[in-house]
Amino acid sequence: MLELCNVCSAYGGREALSEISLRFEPGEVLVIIGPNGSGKSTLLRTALGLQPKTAGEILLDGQPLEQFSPRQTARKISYLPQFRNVPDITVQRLVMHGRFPHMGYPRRYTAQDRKIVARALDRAGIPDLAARPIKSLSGGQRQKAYLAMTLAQESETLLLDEPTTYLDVRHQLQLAALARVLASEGKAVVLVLHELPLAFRVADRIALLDGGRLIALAVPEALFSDQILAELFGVTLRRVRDEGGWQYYYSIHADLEG
Amino acid sequence: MKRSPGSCTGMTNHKRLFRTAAALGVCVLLSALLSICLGPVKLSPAQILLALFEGDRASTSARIIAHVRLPRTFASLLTGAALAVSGAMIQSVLENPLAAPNVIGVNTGAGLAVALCSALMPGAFAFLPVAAFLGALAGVLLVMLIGERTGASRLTLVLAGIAVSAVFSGAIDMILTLVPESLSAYSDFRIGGFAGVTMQKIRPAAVVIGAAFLLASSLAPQMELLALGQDTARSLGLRVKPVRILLLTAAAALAGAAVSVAGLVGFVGLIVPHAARKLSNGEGLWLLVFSALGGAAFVTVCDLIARTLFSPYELPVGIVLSFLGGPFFLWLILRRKGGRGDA
Repeated sequence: MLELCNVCSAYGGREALSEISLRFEPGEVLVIIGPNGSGKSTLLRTALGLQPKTAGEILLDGQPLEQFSPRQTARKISYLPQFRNVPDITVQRLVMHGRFPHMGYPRRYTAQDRKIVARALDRAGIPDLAARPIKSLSGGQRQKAYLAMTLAQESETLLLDEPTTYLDVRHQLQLAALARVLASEGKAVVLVLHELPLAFRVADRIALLDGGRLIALAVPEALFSDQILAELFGVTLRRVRDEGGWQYYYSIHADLEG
Repeated sequence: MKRSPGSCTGMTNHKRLFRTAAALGVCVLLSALLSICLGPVKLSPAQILLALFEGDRASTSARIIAHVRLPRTFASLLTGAALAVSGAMIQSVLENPLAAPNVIGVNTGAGLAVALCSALMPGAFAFLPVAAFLGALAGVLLVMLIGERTGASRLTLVLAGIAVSAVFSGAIDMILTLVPESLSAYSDFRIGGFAGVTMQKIRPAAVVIGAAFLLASSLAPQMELLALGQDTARSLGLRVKPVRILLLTAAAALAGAAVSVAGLVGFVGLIVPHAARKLSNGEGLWLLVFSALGGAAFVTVCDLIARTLFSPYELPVGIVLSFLGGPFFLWLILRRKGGRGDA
């Protein structure tokens, strides 16, 4: 399990994270929300060791993260970055790269690796795109290809930074359902999301960041009635109950409509 | 029934890759054969076989083959392979398809070291590839550092490389002005060519190129991960910095060795990897193999054109490459600007 204890981080000489304490619990979907520039992506990058921390401690299975080699870390945590390259390779090849942390030397893919990759493609909903070059795909399809690569890593913790960018509503909901399935398998799933209704629908807990500080960490039910959302986003979150459970939407404050 | 993406597609892909490698291998052999046959004195394949295996080493054709055609062909094959592989590696490591060895100061770094070495230790051929390697390494590491420290965009990185190249070029000119006898064929060196190349010059370079290619091949999977971007590569467990430095060292050794043989041959490392990337689907090892084979055949054919187009007059191969490479570079830039490519 990945855990942050009073972690601080700086970006370009400016404090980007301030004393963040957070546990990414197995079997839980934790959604991180916050305004632009609030430190959501920096939090994920710092948790993974991609961005150096300036204070605090990051523990992986109770041990300091620094004690793990990059390969050991990659077997335990997978990460979907916000900005991704568009390499000159096929989807299949990209997803195969998810097996890199598990491979020995010489680096040959086993039948088991291929099986895991096929499953990852299936779960991401893109088995038919396997032979297609990444460059020929739409933004949403590329997103799914990278997601499949992350799934092929078969890690205990998944950090997904804005995984719904480029996805239409149907695919956003599919991704939310997949996150819930992964959590039900015992994985810790961490999503950075901008869509508040989706965040409230999928999350077990929500972490709210502002100015690099964790200003709220609560179950959706508790955060729903908090005035803080209205203050930060300029919207009022509302909900109705139907046969599919609580459905969230928001109404826009008059001052935002100019 | 659902098809398993790992099985059928993978097999077909590998068959296609092997076929492409075989086709490129045939191109290399054909270009080498033509390079040995054609020139001011035309030789038939039969004459070549006779000269090579009959043992009449005193005949005119045998001497032409042994002292002119074979060294020249070896030189063009080696230089082409080395520069193309070097370009493919630099482009992957810097995540920039415009970053060819001649564009970002790697070749001129090597050229500066060769000019310096020739001025200070005339005739020390065995040391030239080492000096060229050190110069090329200085060039590529300088560009990498500029990129890392400033967070420069891809295009800015290329512009920084061009600036580094200009400084090295100025230094080469200064050395050759102060010590004009240091490089006997100054303009040939600047343009790049194989006139007067000897096996004595090729041997040490061949050793360096062979070793660097082996190192590059062993790091091919890591090179492929680097092309996904630094964050993704690191999140997959790659130690990005050491791997980048190792790959750039191998790329510098390849470019340096090539420059020590042929001078500042340009654009091979830009044109060939671009095509090889398309043929290899970006798969690291195949990218290196296709670049090596494609580069060898391409430079050999270009050299053949250079020395037969206005026969009996001969052009340095660098001129032919500039005529092809310049417009290609322009096309790559315009394609980016037009937003039709991800490069």
